[in-house]
Amino acid sequence: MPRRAPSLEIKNLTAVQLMELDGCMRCGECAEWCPTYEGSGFKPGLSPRDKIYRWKSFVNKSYGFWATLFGPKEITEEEFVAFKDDVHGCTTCGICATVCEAGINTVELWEAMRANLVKRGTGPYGKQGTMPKIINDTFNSYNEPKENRLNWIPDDVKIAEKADILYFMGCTAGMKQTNLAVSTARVLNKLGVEFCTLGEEEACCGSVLIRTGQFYKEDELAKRLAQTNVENIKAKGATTVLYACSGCFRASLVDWPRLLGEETPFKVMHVSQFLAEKIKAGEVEWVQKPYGEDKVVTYHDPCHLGRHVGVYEEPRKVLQSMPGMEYVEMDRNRAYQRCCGAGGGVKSGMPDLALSVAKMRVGDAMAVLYPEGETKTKTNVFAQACPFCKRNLSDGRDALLAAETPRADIVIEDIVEISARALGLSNVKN
Amino acid sequence: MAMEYFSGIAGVSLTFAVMMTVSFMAILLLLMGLYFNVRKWGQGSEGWGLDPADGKKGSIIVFFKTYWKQLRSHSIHHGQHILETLIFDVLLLRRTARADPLRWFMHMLIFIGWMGLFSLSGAMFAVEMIHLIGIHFLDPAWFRDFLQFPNQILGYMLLLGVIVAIARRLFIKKVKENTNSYDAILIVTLFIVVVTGFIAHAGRYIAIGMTDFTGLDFIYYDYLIWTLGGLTPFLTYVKEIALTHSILALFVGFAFIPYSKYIHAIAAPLTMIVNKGGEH
Repeated sequence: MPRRAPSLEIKNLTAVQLMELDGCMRCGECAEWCPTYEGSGFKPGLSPRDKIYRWKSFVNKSYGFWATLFGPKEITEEEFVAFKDDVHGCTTCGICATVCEAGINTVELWEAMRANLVKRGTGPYGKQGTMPKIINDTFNSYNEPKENRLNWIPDDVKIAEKADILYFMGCTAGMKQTNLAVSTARVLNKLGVEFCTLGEEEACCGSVLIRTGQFYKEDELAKRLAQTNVENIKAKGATTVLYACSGCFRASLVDWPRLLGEETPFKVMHVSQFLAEKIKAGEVEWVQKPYGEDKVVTYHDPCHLGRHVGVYEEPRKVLQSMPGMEYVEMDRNRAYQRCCGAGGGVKSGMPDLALSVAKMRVGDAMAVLYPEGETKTKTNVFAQACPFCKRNLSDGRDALLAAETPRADIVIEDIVEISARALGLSNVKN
Repeated sequence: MAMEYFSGIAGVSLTFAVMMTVSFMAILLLLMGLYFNVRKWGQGSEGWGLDPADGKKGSIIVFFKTYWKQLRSHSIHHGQHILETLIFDVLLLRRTARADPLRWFMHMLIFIGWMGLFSLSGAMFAVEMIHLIGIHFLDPAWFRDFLQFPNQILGYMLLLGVIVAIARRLFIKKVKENTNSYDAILIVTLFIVVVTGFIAHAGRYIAIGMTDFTGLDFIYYDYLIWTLGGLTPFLTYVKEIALTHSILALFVGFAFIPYSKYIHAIAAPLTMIVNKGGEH
């Protein structure tokens, strides 16, 4: 009798990743920390431990000892679909990797599993599947005409044609949360930093495609995007590229070199790192309290800036250097921070789950901004350094605080927007 | 005192031929299991975002090549030195210590106990083999007595670790709820191996009437406890108990590694090393 073909084809997973599955000791530490597992009300399938166990059983059923001797066991389509739903219920925040006692690189594992499922036609999740075509057609993730990338630029902002420093806007700051782009440009102008942008020629960084396992679609789209951006940046003569979006920053630092098979020929920096350097060099003079009066401020580490690439201290240094800002730290901070809930395609694929996680994170901030017994009428500040985090945390705040009386009025702003305020600059175009 | 082979004691020892056969079968099973595991890992690709190359699926070379490549590559995280990973993360289980001191304590007891007993058994076996081939540089009987104390200490460490592991699974609600057969088989088999080990070892000594543990009398009393005061069945069937323990130890605690959750004892250290200590 002919043997059944394995239900699972090993695509996109490396030999080392297959070994990592066997390294899991099922201690459950990942489940203790996973924000979406908690945000879902502890749905068993969302636990990282459970995902590793199930995928490992898929691999064993197809290629394990007994499968090799007696033929593969069938994995039903329902099992694959259920797994697809669960593996997409992950923000790829990476806390599971941070706490993993076996040191498993779980984020890469989830992304590889997603890519595998996309290749077999089971993934991605919901409307995430529209992203490759949209990005291929428009080179941005919002289906906007490319000239809209420049709509945010106010008349007073000076952008050079070519410069040593290039500001990579990103789709979100360039087209949706334009206050961030306006703030970044004005802050750089104020500090006397000559900079250029890629203008209309800027392409999506590709992060959303990689995180959702669709990087190879549309004829290796993510690679083409990286190539386009790198070539355009080289043509501008830039030696340093600044990012205010943590997702783009991570993509440029980690994903572009991997997609292109070589290091990028320029230095990649987040704006908070750049500002921290300037502050250290004594080149930044804050001119006022950002909000006119004293505020308590706490900072949320975006996963893509913190855990993924290790930038923790610079954003704190920037905030702590400002007048009128009393800095407090949340219990869960730096490598042990709780994700905002937006990443990994969860905001677009599972908005309810994203909101649930965001509410928990705003709750973390509330605990330190308004200690027990303090009235919640004062306005305090919840800072972060990623437009995606800002959007989701704002949604979380609105949902969490809607029913509260008196209602705390938490300002959720990007560190660059707060910097602009402290320099006496406006965040809005006009 | 005369002695026979494989850590036995004259009069109640297992035969050399039986133990050698069992040992070789266990080693063979272990190697076969490891081969199948590495072959399974070799189904993967050689790098990020790639599909496995045609004609190379299931190649053990692919696994070793990919492992070496990743080991040599730059890490965006701290990328600590391999020695630091080996000492702090693999041997001292630093990542576990950070997460849960109780689990670390349990894991260390099992780790040290298991590795220690395994090493000392290997050392005893080596001494006997050397003696058997006619090189008499170390008296096996003396060496066996010398190992009484460390063996007993390591055995108790292992036993305590296994008891803590069982207690966690039984009495901590979250742990209990998430325990499945994959976890349970590991702990139960380990418990059986340890308990039979104590009984077999104690039985062998009591059966030959050895009571002189000068300076280490507590070991004698300890042996009495494991045989319930030298109860007849423990002494009459000591050979069978010893054989059962030896077979269990070889097959469950050794040959079973690649076919069970025990595989983490190999895959987890390899993971920590290749990921340069992991994140954070």
